[in-house]
Amino acid sequence: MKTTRDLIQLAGGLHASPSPQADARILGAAEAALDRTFGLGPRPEPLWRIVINNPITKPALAAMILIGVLVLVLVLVRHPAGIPAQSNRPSAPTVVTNLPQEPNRATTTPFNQTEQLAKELALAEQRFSRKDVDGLVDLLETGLDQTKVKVAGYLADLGERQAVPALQRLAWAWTGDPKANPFAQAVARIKPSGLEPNNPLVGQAPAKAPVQPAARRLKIKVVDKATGEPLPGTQVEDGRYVCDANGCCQIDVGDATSWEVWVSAPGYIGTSIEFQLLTEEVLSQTHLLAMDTGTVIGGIVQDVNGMPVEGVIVRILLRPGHDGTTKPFVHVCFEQRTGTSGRWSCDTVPADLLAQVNAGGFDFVIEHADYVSPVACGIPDAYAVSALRDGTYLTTLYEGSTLRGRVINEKGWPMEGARVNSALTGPDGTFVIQHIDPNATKIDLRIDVDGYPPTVRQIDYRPDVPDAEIVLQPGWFLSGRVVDREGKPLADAEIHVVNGPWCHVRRSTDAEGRYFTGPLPVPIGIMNIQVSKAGFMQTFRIVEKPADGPMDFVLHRELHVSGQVLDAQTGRPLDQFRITACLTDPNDKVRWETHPGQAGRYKHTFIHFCETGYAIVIEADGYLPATSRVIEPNERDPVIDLALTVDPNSPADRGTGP
Amino acid sequence: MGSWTFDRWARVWEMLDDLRLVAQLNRGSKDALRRIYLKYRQDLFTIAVSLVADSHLAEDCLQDVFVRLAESAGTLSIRTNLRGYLASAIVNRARDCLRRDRRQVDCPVDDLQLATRQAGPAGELVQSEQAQQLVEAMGQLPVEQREVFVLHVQGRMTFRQIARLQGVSIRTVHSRYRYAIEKLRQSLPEEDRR
Repeated sequence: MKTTRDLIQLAGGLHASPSPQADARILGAAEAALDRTFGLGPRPEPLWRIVINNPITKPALAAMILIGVLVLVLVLVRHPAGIPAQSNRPSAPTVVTNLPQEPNRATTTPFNQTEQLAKELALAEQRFSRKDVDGLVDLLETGLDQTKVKVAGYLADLGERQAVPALQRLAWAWTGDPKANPFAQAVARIKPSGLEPNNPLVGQAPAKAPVQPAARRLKIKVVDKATGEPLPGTQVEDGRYVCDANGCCQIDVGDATSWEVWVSAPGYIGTSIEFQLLTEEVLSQTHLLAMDTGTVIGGIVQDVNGMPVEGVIVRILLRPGHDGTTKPFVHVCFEQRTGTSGRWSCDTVPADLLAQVNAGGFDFVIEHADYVSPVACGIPDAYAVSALRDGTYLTTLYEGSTLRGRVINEKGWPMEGARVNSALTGPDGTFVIQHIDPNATKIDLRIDVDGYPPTVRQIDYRPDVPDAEIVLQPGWFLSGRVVDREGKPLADAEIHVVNGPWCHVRRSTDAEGRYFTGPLPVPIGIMNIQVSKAGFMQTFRIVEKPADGPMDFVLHRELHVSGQVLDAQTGRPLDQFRITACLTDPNDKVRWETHPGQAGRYKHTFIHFCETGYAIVIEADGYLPATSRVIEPNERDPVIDLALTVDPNSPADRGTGP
Repeated sequence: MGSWTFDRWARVWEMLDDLRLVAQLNRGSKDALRRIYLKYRQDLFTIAVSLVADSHLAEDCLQDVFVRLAESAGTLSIRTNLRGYLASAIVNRARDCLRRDRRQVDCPVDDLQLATRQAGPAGELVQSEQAQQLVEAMGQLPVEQREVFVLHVQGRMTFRQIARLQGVSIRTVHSRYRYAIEKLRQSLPEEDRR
């Protein structure tokens, strides 16, 4: 058997090129399209390019940039005492990246800082008088330091517990006199039973924070992008949650390590946001999702006589690739049935539909049970987009042609009650399938009947095709035993036989560890047999033809790996790191899954059997990754400590322990 | 570390070059269009042939992708990288082609149709007997697994990018990749040991 590396080298070495004639044709078509898009001749040079190319404006621009940098340095040097500089307290996120940014301190010059402060204080007072807690928390996280102190007082006056996490973070970050810590005082006023300002925890690292509640919830707030007003009633996760009157919603994320939130509201562009690592910090924040107003598109569905068709299902899925950050991105999932007029309309797509569609992840399907369907509408071009915007995008449905046939068994007897795709056979074994695309050349049929394995036939189709005759063949059976490594039989192990989309058979073992499947179709290509049982590693075997005798399986117990994660130089445990479980090959490692770890210890459970073994890779910001030795699948709960050395090239802050 | 730095810089330079080409294309430059085509034609065509197993169909996919790229010129905003963008586009076109083939079918039969269809010799793709065997074995994989394998190995896309393209979790992509690798390893015999 080839190694993974051989395979990858072989596949990576495959190169195919279009023929020179095809090159000429493709380039010609693309250039013609470019001409159509632009008319003839390129656009004029943009202003920035003219500025950069000019010998006089170029040094002037450089001088302006230099002055800007100097001013920035001045501002940073003049930073007030008490609250430390942003870069010295990575664990105190005073700027929440997903909230709209107020003018940033780093970009505020001394000349307009006073003006900025006055504005913020006025805004804070206004929000306080309106009891707008969310607005105040926004200011607490993005405002100037003096504003934060004032806002902390306001929040304490309001006694709003919602503000405690944000205040607590600032309290921890306070480096001045602990007794004068305004944020700790605010926390104490809101939460008398919580941390007192003179509590030893105040002013220490967040690692010693109070224990988080057991339920892990992701908090989001949905607002209108244009007005900033909350959008109550917005559906989250396809209606599993609905936003409250403030546009807020808490999503139960269980023990997930990553999450994608999808929100949809009538008239707004469907939007998703992806959290690739659900850390406690991410869960402690409220993430703002600003929804943009959607553009309306629509169309008409009619039959070949030009009559509107009612009850047609129109599905649109638009989910272009995005840049991998936690910025919200377009995610439209639309489904509607046409009315008596045959019309449909969707108001949740973005205005730049064509650009989004070209970014990939677009599916547009129209279907109706009484017509040839589903009709895949493909990627719309500029003309189709124009028609969609006018609501005149026309789709014609065809009734299609009919296929007749008969199902008999290996002895020539007609099979009554056999299901052939969506049709049932009559007493004489005949069936009729309607609404077949008249242009079809091949049709796939699936036949299900008791006592025989699911059967699949592909038939050549012509409109004048004679009735098809399908002869069922008896199936084959799979049997054997499932035991553990010591040879003891395992009861209730699940055998899952998969062969293409048609054949999915599940059976369990009896008390003696024996299993026996019903009739299975003769494998088409490769057949996959998976065996699993709680507490044991799942294993699978690939077979190309039915086995002659019993097929036995040995299951290995789940492999629990644990250990310490230390700084190689100091020997101290690392506070924050990532654990990646890998499946190894003699020449390769396949990264299987990653999850966060903390407090200097890691543990991972391998639940898939890999004959060639496993490895653990630990990564932490500012350190070089450390990889464990190869762990054999039959080891018993190994303990492997890993020491990480500092990455000399990384400027990032390191997550060292206390 | 040296090679790591070199690789990283090579990627950065490729990205900068792409951004420049896209900016020029957005101003209607035919030269930029031609250079983008020449830079990526082979990679994209290889992906398309691997997915649709037909060199003529793959050429059609490639033409569609570049015509649409030209039609979007002026409004193009490539947020990640041009290679990933074009690879996504060619995959979507290949899916459309496969779906168009499948439209006449009464029920969805992704895997079966591909399992019974013999992945053809696909023109210039086949360079050796081993490559021929690999192409045939890839033709036996379910569509999703084949996409993951082709995009990761031939399209040089990361699992995260593929997860976004397929609209599934990264874990599912890993899983598909692993199954694809296992099946290909089973299907391809070890080289002759004579």
